Amino acid sequence: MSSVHIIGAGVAGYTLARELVSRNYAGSISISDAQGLPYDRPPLSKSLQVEPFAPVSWYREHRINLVQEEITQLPLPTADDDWVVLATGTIPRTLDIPGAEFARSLHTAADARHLARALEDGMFGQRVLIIGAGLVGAEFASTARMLGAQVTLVSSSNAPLAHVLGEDLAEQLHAEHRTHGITTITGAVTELGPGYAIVSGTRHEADLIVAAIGVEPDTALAERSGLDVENGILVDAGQRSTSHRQVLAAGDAAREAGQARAVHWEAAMEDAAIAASTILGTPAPARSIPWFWSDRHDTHVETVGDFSKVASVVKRHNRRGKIQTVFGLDESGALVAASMIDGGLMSKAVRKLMARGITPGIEQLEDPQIGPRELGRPAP
Amino acid sequence: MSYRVGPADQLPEGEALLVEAKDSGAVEDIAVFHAEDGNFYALQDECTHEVASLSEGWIDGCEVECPLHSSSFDLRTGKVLCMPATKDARTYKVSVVDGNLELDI
Ligand SMILES: Cc1cc2nc3c(=O)[nH]c(=O)nc-3n(C[C@H](O)[C@H](O)[C@H](O)COP(=O)(O)OP(=O)(O)OC[C@H]3O[C@@H](n4cnc5c(N)ncnc54)[C@H](O)[C@@H]3O)c2cc1C
Ligand code: FES
Repeated sequence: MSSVHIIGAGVAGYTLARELVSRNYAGSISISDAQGLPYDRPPLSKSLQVEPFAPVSWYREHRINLVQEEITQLPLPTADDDWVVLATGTIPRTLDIPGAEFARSLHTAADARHLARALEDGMFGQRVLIIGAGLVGAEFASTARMLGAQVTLVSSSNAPLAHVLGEDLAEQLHAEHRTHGITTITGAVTELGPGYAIVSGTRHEADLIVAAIGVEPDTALAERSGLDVENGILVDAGQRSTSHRQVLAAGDAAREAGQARAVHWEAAMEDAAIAASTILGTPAPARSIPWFWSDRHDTHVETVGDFSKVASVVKRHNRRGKIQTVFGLDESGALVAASMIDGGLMSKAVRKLMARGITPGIEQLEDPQIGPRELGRPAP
Repeated sequence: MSYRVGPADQLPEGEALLVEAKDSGAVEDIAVFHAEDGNFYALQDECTHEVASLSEGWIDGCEVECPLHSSSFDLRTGKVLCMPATKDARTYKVSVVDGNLELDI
């Protein structure tokens, strides 16, 4: 009987199983992950909650063999219709400074449970110091603040995330941490110890230190097994490893040769849908324009497209004079990216415009009176 | 029980409106959609993932995409078409009677 062995049960691994089930795959499916019942990562930093994708009964009902184990040796497929899929995701970067072990990361269910417990223990507000104000750092800062902690957020720039939100919105969002009672420091952490951090020469006391300085693809198993790895497990457009036809890789751990590595939730799901098509021998679904979201301080932040291609921006402000949407245009003036807060339908509108290659006029983009659905339509 | 929502011609194709439980007496808020197949459909308004109003979603053909994390639901059946939501939405019957939208609640 044909089989698919999925290693790693993040959103990529889980989605692949789900796709195979919904497309009536007749072979056997197994999923290995040391972390037990598969769960979704985005809620970890937004609420410190662990939300399983599906109950255990779902796996039983669909005869998916869920095994709690870490795979240390890649089980290479032996028959033509056996597949192994690496969906090993990422591991958090660690600080390279004395006392780095005093910082906790926020990447797994265990991290979230640990941090939730630590925050609950503090009667009068724990002193929390967060290193890194990227997506996870900013979200955790907001969550910790909501739980009553005294939060200090350290970053190396006053516009972290400029590379994915554009400079203007990144700066505005970072400044909002302060209006929510968070102390922000632009500086460098040089040393950690029990209950303290040295930031740009100054000592800060902290009950809890969290490092959120980004992630690296987890390619350890792939490398050990001799697969091509270069900033991700290298795959072709069908998610096949460039070194083994029946080994696939999907999600944050994989990178299509010649492309940038996508590191967001939706992209991981798309990889999984494409991997399912490769396994089933059906045409792969088309990729959509990249999109991700982030939630902090009651603000829903979204980015569509690719800010690395942006040469100039057009800003749209809300009634209070805050930037609501930043549209990014490339050298030729074409719409290639947008970032926004509480955009509602705007992200969907921009995605549709970009997919059709339409760039609305600058006056239209700037005008908050023109709703997302009207963008790109000729004025009535 | 049926609830009169209002004139059908005031809900253009591709748009939706919210019928609040406190007005209709239904057990929950309901979103009424004018799909791009020309028909009217109704679903529970709250997304089955987190807290978002499907009446503020993007209607594409006979689907609505949640404004928050983009799960899509089939307007005809309430079936969830993509993650992060995994539960289907409840459907309600809506009909046009003498030019008015009527919702079975
Ligand atoms: C706290 C947090 C918040 C986030 N919020 C957002 C957000 O708001 N929006 C967004 O778009 N993206 C967000 N992301 C990113 C998003 O979650 C990732 O892009 C997504 O999880 C990638 O999925 P994946 O399946 O590729 O990998 P992962 O989710 O990293 O899963 C990989 C799995 O593989 C397992 N594994 C690794 N090696 C082995 C082995 N040898 N044997 C067995 N199992 C193994 C690991 O245990 C892990 O469970 C967030 C990420 C984090 C950490
Ligand atoms: S709230 Fe609708 S998809 Fe998340």
